Amino acid sequence: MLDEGQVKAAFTEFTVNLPSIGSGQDKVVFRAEDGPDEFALKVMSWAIPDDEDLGDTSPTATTMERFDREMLAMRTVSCPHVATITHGPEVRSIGGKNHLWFGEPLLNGGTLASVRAGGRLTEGAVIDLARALFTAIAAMWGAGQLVHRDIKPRNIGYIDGRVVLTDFGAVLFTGLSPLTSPSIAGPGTQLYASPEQFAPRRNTTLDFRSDLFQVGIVLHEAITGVHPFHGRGSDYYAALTSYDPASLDGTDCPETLKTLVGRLLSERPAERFRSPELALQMLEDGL
Amino acid sequence: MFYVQHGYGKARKVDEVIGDGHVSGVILSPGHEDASTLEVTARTYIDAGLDVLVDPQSYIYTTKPQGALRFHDRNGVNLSSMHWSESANSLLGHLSSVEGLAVRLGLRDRIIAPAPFNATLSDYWMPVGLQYARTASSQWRRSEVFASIAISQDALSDWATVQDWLDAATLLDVRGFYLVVSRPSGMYPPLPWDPRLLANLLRVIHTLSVINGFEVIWGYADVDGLLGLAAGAAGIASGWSYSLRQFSIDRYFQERSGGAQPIPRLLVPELLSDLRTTEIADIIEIAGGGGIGSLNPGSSGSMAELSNRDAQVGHLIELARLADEIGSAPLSSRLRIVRERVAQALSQLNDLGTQRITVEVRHVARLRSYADALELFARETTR
Repeated sequence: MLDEGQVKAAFTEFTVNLPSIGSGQDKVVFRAEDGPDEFALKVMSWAIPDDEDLGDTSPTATTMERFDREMLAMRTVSCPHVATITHGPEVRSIGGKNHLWFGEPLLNGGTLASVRAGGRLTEGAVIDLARALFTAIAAMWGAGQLVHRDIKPRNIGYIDGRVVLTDFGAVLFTGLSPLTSPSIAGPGTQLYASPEQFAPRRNTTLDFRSDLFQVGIVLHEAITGVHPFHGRGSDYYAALTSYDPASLDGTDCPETLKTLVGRLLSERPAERFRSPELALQMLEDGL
Repeated sequence: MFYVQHGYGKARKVDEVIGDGHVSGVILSPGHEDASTLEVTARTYIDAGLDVLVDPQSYIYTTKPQGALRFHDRNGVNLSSMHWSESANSLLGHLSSVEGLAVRLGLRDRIIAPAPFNATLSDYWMPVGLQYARTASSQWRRSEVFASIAISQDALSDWATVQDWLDAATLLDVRGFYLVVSRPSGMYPPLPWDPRLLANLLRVIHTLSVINGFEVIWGYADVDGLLGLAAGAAGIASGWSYSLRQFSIDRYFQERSGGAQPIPRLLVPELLSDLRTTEIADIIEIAGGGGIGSLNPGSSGSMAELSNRDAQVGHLIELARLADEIGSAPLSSRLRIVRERVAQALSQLNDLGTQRITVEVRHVARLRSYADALELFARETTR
């Protein structure tokens, strides 16, 4: 556990505001100020061992490799809807232990989870959200066949009204050996996972179409205010693999969005979209 | 679009079919035709403004026993060393020989990639096939690539396995797929389909074409191909001889005797069936044409004397017209059109029975399998 007071003391060049504003599986997030500019200071909650020979397969080595890939993903992808690194990454001694840290733009408009607060978004906001997420997924796949794997409301934020996808801690580089199970990454992820994250398929790895499925869940929630699968009986996987597009009937959602969400939430990747650009094109053509 | 599945030198007959105006292209077979004839054939069709493709016919080399075709070597296409554990050099060599043939024939714009034959979609040949297509799309940057899919009809039996394959295949960066499905060899017309297998095949075509936007060309499809067009295929192919109207991998490694002289048959479009010309003559003579508009009441005599050559030309002309009619309809209405045509054909065959005219019972069985498959397909794709 990080002592937040020690974090503030360790970053004398910034103003670190306490308490922290969020935490995930590996990171604690603080609102920090670098002169007039605010940013999100993200500090790894685990410390780097001092003298331990990590080896290639130790849990710490794997976690550090994950961190490196997260940084690499954020540097590799150039897209207005993908979070960038503003500071670091570096190692900082906090309370006598070495911790990795980096900075991201502060989500001054909050996360989708806080904006939605269990309710619905307006039609315009849903369309902006869909457009941004398809663009982000296209940028990630185009930059190196990266799969985010953890698209959910708390990893989607707003900076000056712009939708931004954040937290690449679970990112999959399809060209590299996997570091984590292909399935579930962090808190809350299970509710947004695709069928193939629960049941890996023969001769395939995850690809951008898993991210598209996650976007489908996010959009359904944004349109209706409720999760499309949660609470539909005791067999969650059965519900997950049998989305009924009619569940959007009765909403004032445009037909294009209904069709789009239905395609995104198809059980099989082959029934979604061959590319994120095609999903974006369907959205734009229908508006 | 309708393609003539071309075996070997029958250029004059093709000219007659092309002249009717409903043929879009020709699919050449380098294993069947010697190098100089193949070049002339390709040039003839290119000059005629047709879309010309070459089926590499690589699938014959991955069966046990291995198949054989006489003219591959003479066309510089060296594929007989295809192996389930392919070295990078060997794979590149195979692709290079196929590309070399396309360049020599002036067909570089669109090339069909080689692939193994898949008895199932879950064995070691499956990823090998994907590897050929993936490598071709990265190597042939100046060409639009069609991936080959050569499968046994039995590979379609388990839909979950087919879906696994589709999940992988739909990530290929190719323009389209050239599909051939091996059926049990035997008499012509082909045996009726198991409706489950045919419906799954239609779902494959639908997933590739309608959902994912690939251009699907179903080779050796003949009348079955009309259902493929309804499912979203961009093109279908059929040829002169019975062996070019249905694909059977067995014929490439089984010893074959010469067989009997083919019986002249004509495709009656209202019946979607290839009736013997003698049967057609009976319908005209006994039932005055049986209410079938395309049968000229005064032609029973000439029908009975129709040569096999003219019957082959007539078959392809009628099939090309049907393919053109269905393929040019909006996608949203194609399925309805084909279902109505199948229902109409069944009804008319039934009417002939009440007039004491019997045609081969296999036609009715085949049409019923079409109707059942289309119903399954419609139900499963409109969920």
